[in-house]
Parts: sequence; structure tokens; C-alpha cells
Amino acid sequence: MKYIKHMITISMVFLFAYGSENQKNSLTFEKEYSEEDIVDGGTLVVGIMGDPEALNPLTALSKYAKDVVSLIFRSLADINADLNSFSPQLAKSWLFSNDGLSITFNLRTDVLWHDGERFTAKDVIFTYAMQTDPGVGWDGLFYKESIRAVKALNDSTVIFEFLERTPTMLMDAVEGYIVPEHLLADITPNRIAEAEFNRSPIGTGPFKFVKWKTQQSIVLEKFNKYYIEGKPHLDRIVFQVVSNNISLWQQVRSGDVDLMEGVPPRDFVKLKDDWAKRKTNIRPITFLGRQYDFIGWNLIDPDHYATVMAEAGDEEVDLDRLLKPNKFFGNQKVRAALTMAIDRSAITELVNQGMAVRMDGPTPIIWTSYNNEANTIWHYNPDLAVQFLNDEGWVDSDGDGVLDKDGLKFSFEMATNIGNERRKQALTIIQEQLSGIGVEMIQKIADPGLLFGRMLIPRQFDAALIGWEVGLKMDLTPLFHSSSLLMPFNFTSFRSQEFDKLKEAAKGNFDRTATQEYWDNIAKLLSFELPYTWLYYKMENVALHKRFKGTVIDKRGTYINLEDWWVPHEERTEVDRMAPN
Amino acid sequence: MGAYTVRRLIGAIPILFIGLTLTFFLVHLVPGDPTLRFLDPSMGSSLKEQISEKFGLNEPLHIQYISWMYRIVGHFDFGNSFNNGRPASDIILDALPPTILVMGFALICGLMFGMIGGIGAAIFHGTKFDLIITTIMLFFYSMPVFWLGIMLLGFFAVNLNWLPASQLTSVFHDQLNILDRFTDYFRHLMLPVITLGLVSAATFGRYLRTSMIEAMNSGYVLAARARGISEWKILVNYGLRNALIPLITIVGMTIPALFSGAVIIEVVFSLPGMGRIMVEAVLARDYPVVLAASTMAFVAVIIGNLLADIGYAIADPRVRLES
Repeated sequence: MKYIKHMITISMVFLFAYGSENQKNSLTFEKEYSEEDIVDGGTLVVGIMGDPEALNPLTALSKYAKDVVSLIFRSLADINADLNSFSPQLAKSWLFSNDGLSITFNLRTDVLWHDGERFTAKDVIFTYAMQTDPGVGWDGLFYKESIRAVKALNDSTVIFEFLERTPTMLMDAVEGYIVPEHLLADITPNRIAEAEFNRSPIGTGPFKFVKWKTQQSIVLEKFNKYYIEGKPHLDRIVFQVVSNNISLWQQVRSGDVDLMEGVPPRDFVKLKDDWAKRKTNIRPITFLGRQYDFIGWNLIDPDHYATVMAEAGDEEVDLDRLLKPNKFFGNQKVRAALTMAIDRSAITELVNQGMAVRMDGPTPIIWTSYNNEANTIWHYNPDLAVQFLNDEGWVDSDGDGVLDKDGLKFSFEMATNIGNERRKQALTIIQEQLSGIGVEMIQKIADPGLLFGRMLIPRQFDAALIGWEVGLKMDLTPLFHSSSLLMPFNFTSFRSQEFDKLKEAAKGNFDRTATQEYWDNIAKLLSFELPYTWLYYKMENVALHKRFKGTVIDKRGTYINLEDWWVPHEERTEVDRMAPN
Repeated sequence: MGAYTVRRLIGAIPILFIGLTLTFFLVHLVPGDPTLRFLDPSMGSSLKEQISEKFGLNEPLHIQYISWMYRIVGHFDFGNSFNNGRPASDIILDALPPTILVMGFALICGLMFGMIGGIGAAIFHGTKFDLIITTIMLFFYSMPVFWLGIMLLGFFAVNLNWLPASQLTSVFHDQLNILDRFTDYFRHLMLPVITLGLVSAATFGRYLRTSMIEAMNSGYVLAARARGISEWKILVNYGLRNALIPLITIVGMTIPALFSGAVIIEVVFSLPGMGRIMVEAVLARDYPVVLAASTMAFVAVIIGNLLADIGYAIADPRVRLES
């Protein structure tokens, strides 16, 4: 969940991150408000940096689109802050069958679509059919892979039947917003991207769609017949598209925009200072986000890979022949040495204006499976690093300050994508630190298309400093399992029988301790093998006008409880008083 | 005159064709492809192949080219955006008005300031006033548009907070009355138009000054003076009229530059025009939109040149006779 508060420090974030699962991080108000104080009305103006591509849950891909969609639509159940349990939404309750292979959902019968039609089990069945239709290309398809069928018993009961028992059955069943059958049934699945619905969506959420001026703004309005009585409190939400963060930040400061995500770190530091001195109406909110940066080492020889792939053409390739160890990073001890040569604490303090948290292993902190005792990659120790390299035969025999072995200098390129200040800073610090142990690293800053398309995917690189966004479903298979070896995500070409075995053993295991043991073993294995050197998590910076009360902003998102937000009368601005149109 | 225009129009067709072909291959040569947007480990990997197939990207490039050309020539169909599924031509048409607005006003503003500056400098040729005007014009002439834009934005929008920093309208534009709506547009367009206008004013002014000085030193002006015609009349009828002829060519040729300037300015000031569309489409490798936008730009260049030639022919009868 998101850790919201004034004047947060990184150490505090750590406390929360390790803290109890169900803790509620409510806001510290300047004035204390109670339930009775809550009043309806008010307008929230959100600044977003890109125009959504579609407001259809089936085709929305960008963060901007998904954020807007999350206010218009509802799913069967919503994940709680512990990222493990769920709260009811369109489903009142659910029950696992005795064999554990199916879940029965009892649906609400008082839910209306924004056009007045009643929501029924038909919509749930239809949504599942669309989500799993290859023509639609829904990006959450992998959630539904273990589902065999979805059936309706009557208008308000649906059963999800599974192929096998997995720890994530409930998450898999409820993932994805429910779409209206009565409006989309006539559309051919592979023409869904062109549907009119994408630009005038009808959902069951607290806010209904009003209008969309392309590249300018999207207006949502309170849905008066929302199934939770008395919600939402705000009258209207306006999304303003402002394409660059300098202009957007300026609009936040001038009061034209109330909410902005991704405040530039430098401005955020200043904002925190101003807020502490009570010089501003804009509240800084920072929390541990879902993004982390790491170095991925190419474990295989790029030239050999290219040659074998070219020879094979369209034929099946022999993996044993394809994967020749990399002359530098094919050796675990060398990766351990490089990891020890990098002072991750120093990097964490310097990048992103210090708004980062050190990452010590492969399991993301926000996952319930995170265990700090299992996630312990080698700590900073340049002396031991030199020793490890010497043991492997890397010595400076010609006295040029760079280690060499059999006439090969330890000199390689580390790539990152253009336009990311944080990664560029980290790259420079790492370059400095590596040169301290006699390893020459050359920075390579490339266009993202070039980096992914021509370097990482065809495995034509030495090392890369990039980042992933952590999904809510705990799974490291796409990154490290041998089944994803030729896939884009396992770009380091990590192949470990032990990893595959652990994965196999954990399959269908429901037991909490056994699951934890699996994750600990995975974390220990990867911490030792080091296909990546994990560096840090990025802190997310949000700026919000202080008149909004009752807000919860955490790692699930900025918009998770917008239906609860409200504005006291005495703090209303001109924008709040504008009559709804 | 009609035959001349028709001939020029027919001549533009091969240029358009070659330009489109080059753009098509250039765009596809750029590393990366639209499916890279789906490079996220929490999504299934089969999605990439599915998307490729859906967009027809799995076909060989020459097949893609032929079917693309066929759709444009045959049906005037630029395909649907990979990003949002809307027809690329609709996206371009939506984005065109703000760009034309900025370009049009910038052209008017540029011509106005350029003429005042250029004529003024020419009249006071050789004086300190001339030096000052010329220096100012040189300053703006050598200024990159985006830099000037950011500086003006920083000063007038951020420091002084007089004008809005971005967008074409304010949040509650639709609730304003007609007069306030007009003011709203005006305030939002002011900074981008002035930025672009100043840069083009410098271009126009410099040309106008030179050709004006040349005209005023010519034999027919000397003859007119000898006939005792008033200095004011000489200036307007003999000097300006002749000096304006080369300006027509310059204006025509500036239209492509104005277009690219507007594209940059839109990104700086977050205007919902062609610039934003193009930058976003290029970054996302949204080929249909990139290609439709480039086609638009090609057409603008060709029309600009054509208008300049026609305007030139109207202003100068000698061109007509020769052609």
C-alpha cells in the first residue's frame, strides 16, 4: 500500500514497509475531521502527462488510461493494501469449493450501469470471454491462464472453474474490470480497438464519463446511482493533459491543477521544505513505489548467440549450443565481485535526490513473500571484490590500471535508456566505483527502441541498467525461468535447473509456510547467482492540494479510494464552485 | 495562369510520391517497433506476437509498403493508429486546427513585426537605429525556437504568472461566455504565437531590409526623385512594392519552417496539435500516425512552394510572361 503522510523520511518508509499488513495509513489532518463532517461537492483537477489511448478496460494499456478506467469501472473484488486479501466490489461474497478447484461468486443485484441497465452475471461471463479472446489482445490475459471455464448459475451467481489449484486463484478470477455485455456484444473481438465504446465508456464505477477532448481533457462526473449509497463525494474529476512535467508542475503551483504524479525530484524536495514551513497549499506525498532499477548482466556470449541464431534460421535451436558463457559475466564469482564493488547505499543516497530505497535482493519489498533474511546480495566490499577477481585470473599484468586475463582487458559497456536522469546518475557512480577495482566500464546511453529492440532482445549487449515495474501477482518466472529463455524478459539468459525445480515443487501448493519457503529459496538462489545486481527502488512523488480529505494513496495507486475524497466547505476554491455542466 | 498552376500541381505528384516512399522506409528503419510498448515482465510474452500479427508487422516490409500505398492512393486510408485504434486521418484532422491557428497567427505577427522592423531599418539605413534593429533581428534569427519558448514561458508564465503555461484552453473554458472564451484562447495562444512570430519576424525583417535598401538605391527611384515625386510616395510605390516581391517567395518558403517551428512550440507549451501527435507517435513507433503526419507535412511544403510561385506570378508580370 501507499504510505501517505507529511514530511516522510526514508527510514520511516522502511518501518511502514516492514510493518503490519493491515495497517491503515490515514492522513494527519491539520484539523481533525470526523465522519459527520464529510460533505458532498467539489472538483478535482488531475494533471496527466499523456492522453489515454482508450477508456475501455479491455484495450487500455498506458498508465493514464488505466487510471481513468479505474474510476469508471468496477471489478468483482478489489485487492487490499496487504496485496494478498480482497474486498468485495461487484461480488458480495465468494466461496471456494471443497476440492478447491472452483470459486462461486455471489453478485450484487443493486448495481446499475451508467446508462441505467442492470448489471448481471451475463456481464461477468461476457467479460471473461472477451478477456480471453486472442483477437482482443487484453494485457492481463496471463491472469486467466489457469481458469478452465466461467459459468452462470443464475443472474447473480457465477462459478469460476480452474484447471489446477494455485495460490493466486482468487486474484486470477477477479482481475480485470467488468464490461457491459449489452453494449459490446455486437462488436467483433478483433475490431475492439476501433469501437466507439473506447471513447465513450459506460461502467459501474463511482464516476461516469462525460466528455473527452483529445489531447486536452477528460471530464468525469459523479454517478448518482452508484451502488454504495452516499458515494462518491466529489462532483467532478477533470483530467488535464499537459505533455511536459515542467508545465504541469507550474500549473500545480499556480493552483490550476490539484493532483500531479511524478513530481520532478528537485521540485519535490523544495515542496517538502515549503510544506514544512507552511508556505504552500500543496501537500507532498511520497511512498515506496513499484519501480526498481537493476543491472542485468549478459550471461552468454553475444557474438556466439548471433551466429547460432543466424545459422538456425527458422529451425529450432539447440539451447546447449546457443548459450556459451559470457567472457566476463558468465562466471558467478565475477558477478559477485562486481556486485561487491558497487556501493548500493551510496548510489541510493545520491540518485533521485535521495528519494530511493536500497534493494537487497530479488523479491520486491511490496510482495508479502518478501523476507529480508533471504534477500541478501553481497554487500559493498571492494577488497574482497578484487580478491575474487584475482582468484578468477583477472590481474593487472600490464600495469595500465585495468585488469586483464589472457590478453583480454576487463572493459565492457553498460547501457541504459536515454532520458532517465536517475539511471544516468547511477551509471556514472557505478563507473567510478568499478574503476576503483580495475574494471573499465563504458557508459552507453541509447534510445529505448534501440536498447530493447537491437540490444537486449537479440542479446547484443554486455550489461544494462534498466528497471522493471513490480506486478501485483508474485511471479519471477518471466524473468528467470528456463521456459522464458528466448523470450524478451529473460534477457540475461539466466538458466538454472534449481530455479525450475523450485518452481515445479511450489506448483499447486496452498500452504502459507511452504509458499514462504519457496520464495525464500528462490530469493537465496538468485541472490547467490546474481543474474542481476539489484540496486534500488524509486520513491514516488505526488503533489495534492491540501483541501482534499480522506485520501488514501499507496503502492496500489493514487486513485484507489477517490470515491471517499471530499472537500470541506471552508476550503473550497472557485473551481469547486463551478456549476456542473 | 491556370495552365501554370495545373502544370505545377502535376509536377508536385512525383515529389509527393517520392517523399512518402522515403518516409515509409525511414520510419521502419528506426530501431524498435510498436510491440516494444508491451515489454513488461508482468504481461504475457505471447502478446507481442499477437500484436505483431494484428498490426500486420509480421509481413515483409515491401508487402507492407505496397498495401500501405494501395490504401492511400485507392481509398485515402492511412490506417488506424496502433495506439488507440482511431483512424490516423481523424487524429491528424483533430490536431490540425491548433497548429494552423498557431502558424497563422505567428505568420501575421511575424509579417507585422518583420515589416515594421525591416522598413524602419531600411529608411534609417546606416544610422544607430538601423544598427539596433538589425542586432535585435539577428538575435531572434539565431535563436532556437524551443529555447526562446522555454525562456518566455519561464519569465511570463512562471515568474510573473501573467499568462498560462500550457494548453489551448483553461479547465472551465466551456462554462465561460463567448467573450471570455475568446480571451481565454487569446491568453493561451499569446506566448506560443509570440515565440514563433518573433523568430519569423527576424527572417522577414532581414530580407525586407536588404531588398528595400536595394530598391531605394535603384535607377527608377533616382528617376522618380528627379521627377520631384514626394519621398513618401517613392517609399511606398517604388521602394516597398518592389521590395515586397522577394518577400512573397520567402513567406512561401517559410511555411514548412513555420510548421516545424509550430510542432516544437506545441511540445513546449503542451498544445494539442500536430507537434504533440507527431512526437508521441514517433516515440511509440505508431507508424500509421507518423506516416499520416509526414504526408501532411509534405503536402504543406508543396502547397507552400506552390502558393509562393503563384503569388510571385501575380505580383510580378515578368514571371507570367516567361512561363
